[in-house]
Amino acid sequence: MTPPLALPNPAQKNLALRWGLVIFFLILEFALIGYAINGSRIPPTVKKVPAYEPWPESVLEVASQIPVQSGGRVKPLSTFARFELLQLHGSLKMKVETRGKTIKISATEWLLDCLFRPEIANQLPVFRLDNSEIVTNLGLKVDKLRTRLSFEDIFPIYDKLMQRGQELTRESENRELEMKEKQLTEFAQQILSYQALTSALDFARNGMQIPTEQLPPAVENPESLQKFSHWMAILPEVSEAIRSAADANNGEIPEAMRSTLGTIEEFITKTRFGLNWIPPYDESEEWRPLGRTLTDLIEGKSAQWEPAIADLQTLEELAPLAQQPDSRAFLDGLTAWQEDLTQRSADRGLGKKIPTEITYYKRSYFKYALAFFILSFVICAIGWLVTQGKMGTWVQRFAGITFFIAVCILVWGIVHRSLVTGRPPVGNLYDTIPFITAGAVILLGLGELITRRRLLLSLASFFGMVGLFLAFRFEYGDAKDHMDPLVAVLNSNYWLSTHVVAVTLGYSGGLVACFLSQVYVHLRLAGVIEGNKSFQRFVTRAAYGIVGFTLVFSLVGTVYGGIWANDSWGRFWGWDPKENGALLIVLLALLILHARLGGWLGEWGIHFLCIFMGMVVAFSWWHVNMLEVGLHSYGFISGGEVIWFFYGAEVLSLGVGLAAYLLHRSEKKG
Amino acid sequence: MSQPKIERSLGQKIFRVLSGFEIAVVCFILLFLLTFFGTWEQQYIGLYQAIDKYFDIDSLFVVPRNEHDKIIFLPLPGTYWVIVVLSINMFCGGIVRMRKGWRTAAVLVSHFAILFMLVAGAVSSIAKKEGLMMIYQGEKSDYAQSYHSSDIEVFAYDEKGDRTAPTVISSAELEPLRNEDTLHVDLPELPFELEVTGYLGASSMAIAKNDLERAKDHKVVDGYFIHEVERSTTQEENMPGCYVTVSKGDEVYELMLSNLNPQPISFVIDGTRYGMLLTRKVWPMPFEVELNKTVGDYYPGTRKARWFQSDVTKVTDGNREDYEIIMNHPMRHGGFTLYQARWDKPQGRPFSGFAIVSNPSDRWPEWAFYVSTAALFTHFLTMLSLYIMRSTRKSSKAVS
Repeated sequence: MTPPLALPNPAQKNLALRWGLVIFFLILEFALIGYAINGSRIPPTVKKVPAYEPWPESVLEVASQIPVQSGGRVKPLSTFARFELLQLHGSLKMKVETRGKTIKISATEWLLDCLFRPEIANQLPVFRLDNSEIVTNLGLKVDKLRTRLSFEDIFPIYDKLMQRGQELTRESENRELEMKEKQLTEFAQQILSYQALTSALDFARNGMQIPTEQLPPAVENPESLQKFSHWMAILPEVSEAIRSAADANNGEIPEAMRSTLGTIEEFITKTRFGLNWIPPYDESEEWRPLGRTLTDLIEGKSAQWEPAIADLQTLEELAPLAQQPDSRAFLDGLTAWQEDLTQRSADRGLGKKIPTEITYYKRSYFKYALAFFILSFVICAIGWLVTQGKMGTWVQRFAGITFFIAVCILVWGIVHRSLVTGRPPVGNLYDTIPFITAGAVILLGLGELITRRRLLLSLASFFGMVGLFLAFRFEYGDAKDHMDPLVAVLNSNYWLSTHVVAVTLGYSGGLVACFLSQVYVHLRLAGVIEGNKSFQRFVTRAAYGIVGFTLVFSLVGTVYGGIWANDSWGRFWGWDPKENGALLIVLLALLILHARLGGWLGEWGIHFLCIFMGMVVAFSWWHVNMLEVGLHSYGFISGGEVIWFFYGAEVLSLGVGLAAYLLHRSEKKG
Repeated sequence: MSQPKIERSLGQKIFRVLSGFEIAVVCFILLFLLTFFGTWEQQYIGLYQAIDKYFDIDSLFVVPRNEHDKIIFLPLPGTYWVIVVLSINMFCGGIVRMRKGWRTAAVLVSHFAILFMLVAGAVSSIAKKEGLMMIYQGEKSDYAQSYHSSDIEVFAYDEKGDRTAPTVISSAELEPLRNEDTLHVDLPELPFELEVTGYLGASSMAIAKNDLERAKDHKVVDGYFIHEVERSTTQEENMPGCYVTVSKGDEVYELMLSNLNPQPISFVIDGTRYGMLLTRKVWPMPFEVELNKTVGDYYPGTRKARWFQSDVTKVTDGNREDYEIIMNHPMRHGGFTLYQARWDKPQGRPFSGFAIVSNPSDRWPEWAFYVSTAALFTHFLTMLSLYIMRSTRKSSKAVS
């Protein structure tokens, strides 16, 4: 077998120039990609929190299984915590230094801190700040533009920040806010969300704090008067007593009563937001924070006082135990609470998939798949150097095995995800990333099985790495739970498993063709395959064949989408950006095939257009969602400046191709 | 040895040009550019305007522009007409001229199916009608209204005060008007003349005494005036307005019409009371729809729609038929299709908005799709098998 790649022949013309150009373009490409990645990265901050004591594994295990309702579905507390922390912190782990050791705090641990130890949570560097000017303008000293701050860090400007946030929210009704102003309002909103979590159990931790001298001397069990649940249980009587006292006091409520009433009101308000972990006591579907249930009771919209008081009492017993997180009593109390909520959830036929969802996230399929793709790519790279003999064969086999393992993990991850969501593998933009990656690597892997040229396997491993890296970046950046249910119009397993799958496979094909052509132009510029016509033809044929694959799947998927649109919205084709994006891929594939058949497109032309195809796929896959126009509003995303870096990298690849072509021409003439 | 030159008639030459790959390639390039610019510009001018500009049958030439209205590319021919040329090319080259054989059979069939799909699109763009029918639960309706176009309806009131059949000044006459244009309307069935002035495609109404500064530059009628507002990229939100002068001899009425005002403006000529209204174009249906029950709900704790359903009865000449309309499952009957397009429950009273479409080519793309999919997959798999067989043969030769 001819080795696919060979070191350039020293007699090759312009060798120095060629390698100079290759290095120049590679530096530019990597710099561009590096800048795009680094642009949104915040250097890890390790904050000293001496009082931090990690939660025991057993507690975390139980806590993660607590069912909560969020985003329209019942999910494990660990999933809720995961996306809350991603939104605030931009990462799933928080590093702190405690007693000389650096530890990583997980999302569930952080949420437990918020609920049971807010004084500790307030010291954690939870708030990601992409532009610290928004707080320095309010008088806070921060030395970096991008950083992470704790609630305690922000506290000195808290009032100013909230006030400015409210002002800007009002102003946004009349004018478009500037970027910094939007960032400030979002930041203020994040702090409020955080506070909703940290104050959710204030009533249980702090109690009523009524001074002993204000307690009536004849009370049998004065401790009970310090419990919020007690006051809620006797609220109707208390109201009556306050009314009588006020009547007897010229309409004035006595000071002691006023203070108690104020505390009750404060606790109800504080528990109105945050965690929806109390299943409804009636037939309704909406889980709510405790405060909203209590408000309904007070307003007479509900009469379920008994279970509500019982829940308050449970939490009042549980919260103080958390001061000793490794105590048996806390673990038992938490387990009882989790089991109670799980049972109430199960009684409504909900939360059945909580265990499998926890397993899905624990297994970190995509992380392991990424590791195996990296390993496979490294072995492939070694394989380029060791091409001959037994060693070469074994390296190749080993690369194939690691790649196969990576694909299996990736596919199983996608399947597991589908089992959790109960829908086909692609339902939103995030889902498309692992699916397209899987489609592309399987396509390339099958290609390698047929051709045995080593190139496609290397490319497949590289694609797997890039695809899964993108999946992580998007999940972290978007910080939304992509397992949440879909809007009514998308809620069709038939259409999701046909149209969406076909279109995304078309994207896979377009990107594979683009990657192949990028490899081709880089190798041509480096002079590595100049004398190997058979290899050049092979890459061109592979790229051309994959354009055919792209056309079939894109066309079928696009037309099938039209039929779905005709059944949903009453029109087959509406020139909507999402539809047009798919059409652009179809048109470009048709252009390549017909121009080739017409004899106007040679090897170089095919590769140039295939690289361009990558840009068109990126436009269709990502960019149309950023235009924020059209009927596919459920897919809109904001931001996404990174797309321009991708276009930039593709333009550079076209530059590589042009340089290689011009050198090839001049050498041929010479 | 050079091949003898084949003499071709003019007709053959024309046919060869029309069926050539050259035209196909040029059409694909043009369609690519048009689709791209037509998509890009939507973020500035909205979907409706972009369709009008790039993809409509009336659009012969297009000049792509950016958000500041600066020209960003050379003028391009209108998409509709490029597709017409492509269809002719596909028919001549991809069906008539194409070599016939088992290896090209699938491509031939897919060309035919795609051509059929393009024809369906052409028929749809000419003959399709669509509108929105809003009905509250327990009520019925026999008309739909256009999403975008507004007509002026002029009608007389009878002795009971009911409206008689209206005379319509169509949106086709109104929409091309600029603010400074005047449209004289001759309505033989009515005893007066009409003149439409100051037409604005996107307008708002204001009370003159509340906005004296702006009122100075506008015509004030009965204390109100209309003024231009920034055109929304969502065409449904653009509300037209205009002034109408009604005259008969010395009798002259100045009226102000706005799509924002649902009440007719009335005037009296020759002792008869008339009303005039600028309203979304009305499309009478040959049947009545009764909304028996409509339910909808959201995922708990969100405003994300989970399910909409409407149980309706269609009444045609006394014949009653019950249907269930849900998301992705419209009601198709008698050339009309009803889709669940909107749902809400203001003040506890649910209503449904049904998109109604009449499109002769409604199902054609679906039929074409099944044929083309089968053909494309057959062709692709054939090519792949041939390629694999060739590769296997080569490698076995190399081994031996």
